[in-house]
Amino acid sequence: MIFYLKKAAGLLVTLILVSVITFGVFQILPGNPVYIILGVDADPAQAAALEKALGLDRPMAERYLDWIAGLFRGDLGMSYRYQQPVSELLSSALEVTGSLAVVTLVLTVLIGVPVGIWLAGHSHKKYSVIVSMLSQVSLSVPGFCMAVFLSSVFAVSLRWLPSMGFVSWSDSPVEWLRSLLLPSLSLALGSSSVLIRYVKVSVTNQQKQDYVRTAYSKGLKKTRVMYGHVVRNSLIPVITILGMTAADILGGSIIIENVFSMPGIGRLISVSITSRDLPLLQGLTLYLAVIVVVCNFVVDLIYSVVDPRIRLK
Amino acid sequence: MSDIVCSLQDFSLQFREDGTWYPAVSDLNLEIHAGEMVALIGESGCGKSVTALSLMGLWPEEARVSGSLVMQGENLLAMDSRRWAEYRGSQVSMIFQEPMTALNPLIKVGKQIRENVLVHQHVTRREAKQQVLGMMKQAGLPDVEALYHCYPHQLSGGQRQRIMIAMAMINHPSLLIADEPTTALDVTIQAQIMELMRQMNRELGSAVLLISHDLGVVKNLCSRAYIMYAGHVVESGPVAELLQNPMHPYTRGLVAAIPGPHCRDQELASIPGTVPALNARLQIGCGFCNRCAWKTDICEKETPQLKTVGNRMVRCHRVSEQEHGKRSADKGEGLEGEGQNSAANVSDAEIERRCVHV
Amino acid sequence: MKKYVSDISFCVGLALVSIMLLVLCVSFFWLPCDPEAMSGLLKLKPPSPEHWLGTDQFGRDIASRIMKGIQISFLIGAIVVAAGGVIGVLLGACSGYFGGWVDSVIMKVIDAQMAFPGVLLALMLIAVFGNGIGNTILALSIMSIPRFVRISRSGFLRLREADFVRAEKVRGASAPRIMFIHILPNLMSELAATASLTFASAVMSEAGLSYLGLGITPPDPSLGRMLSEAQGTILRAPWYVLIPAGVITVLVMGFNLLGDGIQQVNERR
Repeated sequence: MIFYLKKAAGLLVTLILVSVITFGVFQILPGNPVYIILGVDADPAQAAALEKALGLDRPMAERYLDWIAGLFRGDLGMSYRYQQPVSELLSSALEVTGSLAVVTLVLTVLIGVPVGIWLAGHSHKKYSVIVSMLSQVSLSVPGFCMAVFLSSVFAVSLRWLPSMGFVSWSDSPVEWLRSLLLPSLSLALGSSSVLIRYVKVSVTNQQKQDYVRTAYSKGLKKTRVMYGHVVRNSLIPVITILGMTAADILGGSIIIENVFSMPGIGRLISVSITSRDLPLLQGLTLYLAVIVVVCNFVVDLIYSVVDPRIRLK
Repeated sequence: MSDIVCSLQDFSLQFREDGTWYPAVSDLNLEIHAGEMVALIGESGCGKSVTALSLMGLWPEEARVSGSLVMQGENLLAMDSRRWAEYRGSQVSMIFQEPMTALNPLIKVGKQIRENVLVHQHVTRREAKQQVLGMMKQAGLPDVEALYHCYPHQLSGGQRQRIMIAMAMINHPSLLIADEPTTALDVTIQAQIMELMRQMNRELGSAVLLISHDLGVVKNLCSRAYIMYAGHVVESGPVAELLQNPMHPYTRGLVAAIPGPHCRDQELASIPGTVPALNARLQIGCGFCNRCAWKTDICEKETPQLKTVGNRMVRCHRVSEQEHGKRSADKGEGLEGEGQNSAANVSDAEIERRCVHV
Repeated sequence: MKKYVSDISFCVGLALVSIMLLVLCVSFFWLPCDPEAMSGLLKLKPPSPEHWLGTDQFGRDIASRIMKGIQISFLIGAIVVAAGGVIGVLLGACSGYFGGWVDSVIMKVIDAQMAFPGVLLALMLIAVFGNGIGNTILALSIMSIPRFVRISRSGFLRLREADFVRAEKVRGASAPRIMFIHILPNLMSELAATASLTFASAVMSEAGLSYLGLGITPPDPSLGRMLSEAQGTILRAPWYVLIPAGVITVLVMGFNLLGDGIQQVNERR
């Protein structure tokens, strides 16, 4: 129980720090945001009025607390550019980024885990070197380079898959998947290479454990030892890096959504920067950061549930 | 004489290092009779554990094995991986030194024992569980229903080793190999575990090969013992005689090192030096000569052969010259048992193979 | 050194990085053409003896622009590693050596910073300060700090109880002296690996930001922006896409492999 309380306290502190960073960064803004909205040569009286309306004349701590209170009411502020609540913009972009992240995570696990296990079992074979090298290459190709490459081959040249846009699941599940396949794959190739390494190292370590010898001495066959004992134990440490992978995928999606012109959070972020729509950027940034923190927390919890030894501490 | 369960003839095991093969075990001859408890004694690095693992077919991948390993009339070196899997855990099973790491930390102990039943017997899960509970009870575990659902880290060291014993004995193997089963346990628990093994041996009739570095631990349990040093059996025979009248200088050192009530105010005896490393072992000469107080020129020039002395075997050049006041039982009686002068007649069907399985 | 040469990753990485360094050195003294010279007649020409890698949609020589872009990438990578490294090692050293509340505060802030995935933190800073080379470097340097903090913290934590550190303490050496004269040199190979990996990710992030039009601003040439410009002409000039994408990949892979190689050799010891 103390274990969970400690974890929850850590989560709270991190969340507060994240919100302070997000809030703080936008306070060091050179220049008054009022003039960004109204233009540099705005009437000073009008500027002062807007400043008051936006609450920019009050002390920073007060505005921070107001902002936090707003968050709890689901109010992330108002976008300058779209003249719409940030939360509304966010919820419409959420399906895109959420779909992209989930499909990518599934692809990452589907590629990473089997290849990692296979590599650990065949580490002395010649052809495993080729697979290792391939995973090293796909680790190093930046996601957006991979995206440009994949889209020029499969979308532009072969015309198998759409090169841009997003189709909602409710419109057509098949088209939904087709529109997600290339962006997800460009992200998943990189993140699965990371996963492959972890799985491989973890399985190799577990294979050296004493209980593996016990399993063999019971008369279990090689595959049964592998899948009944080794793999099970190896995947538990791998769970911890899934949180990290989720963060990587979200970070990568910011650029990938722009490559494929998908109307997700990443696209909104880049629009908000070019149009200097700071409330929108602030809301989106906080939202992504909170998701990452919560993901890591959930992964910690899953880990403690799956591994009986952790709960005891 | 009772049936021979297991016999090793001229068994050798070599490791490869930098292109050369170094012997970890050389020309080992060993026999175990049905229902017998035999000890294999030696300090770490002498090759006793690797010999035990070889009986399970679990020698390391980079090792080369030759000689003959026969278990209930079957040549182990001719078995394929399918046969090995049938054999392990049913005909022979093994328990290890460290019961914490030898159990899978993420599987309930009951299920780990049950797995052994399900692999070798065609029974339902429920029947298997009943067998497991029965065996756990027999292994002296309390409250077996609750313990069945425990994870290894929730048990004490002694309980874990009892679980290991239950797991090993559940298919009534004809041989149980125990590799230093009590070394990692508290002293008070050690005697209990040893007693449990003797009880299992009596109740289920399985022969036991007990591997230890301590001759004192086995003296009340085992009938016979093999003393190993640097890959060779240096002396073998009935435990009582070995203790009373050790012939090989190494055995003498071991016997002297057993603490007892009679040596209260004396300093504990020890053998100076350590076992030579695998790649530092001499190809000729006696392996013990760098630590031996009695060595002469011949010890460095010639490898000693096993000599039969009474119902014992000893590998020492100087054994006949030594003073053995109480060597009365040495005239002609009981020359059977150990396979006479075995190192001299090399088995003609020498099978040499690299390990392919595991 | 021999141990490093026997590592495949290290060798391949070193080879790729050396090729890029060679191109970089050449670019300081000689460029095939003026990278800014436009020509209406030479739009999107395929590779030829005059223009080795062809021309872009304004008729500029791609080879020269790539070489200029490599200069920018190395400049950004080097400054980011230096700045992020110095700040990160300082923080990590304090965190690991002193422990206690100093450690908790620093690590909590670093953890919070790690919550901003990928280039998000850099984007936030660019939104505030505006884009351009200087601000991109600033943003990427801040982004690279956590990595150095974590590595140096674990190193200092490990070595602060070492015998030679205790001996220095007994002798009365000051904390900064112990930290930077005695402990730090022992962590050099680990930091070298981190520096190499950070270099790779700085190059990658800069290209990503510039691809979005939020990093390097024209007229400075950038591999990332070339890629986004090339994407629009993919049907007419496919080679134009492949060249910047390939160069970015080789740069990133070279430094990644180099860092991995150093790391693997360190672990084997």
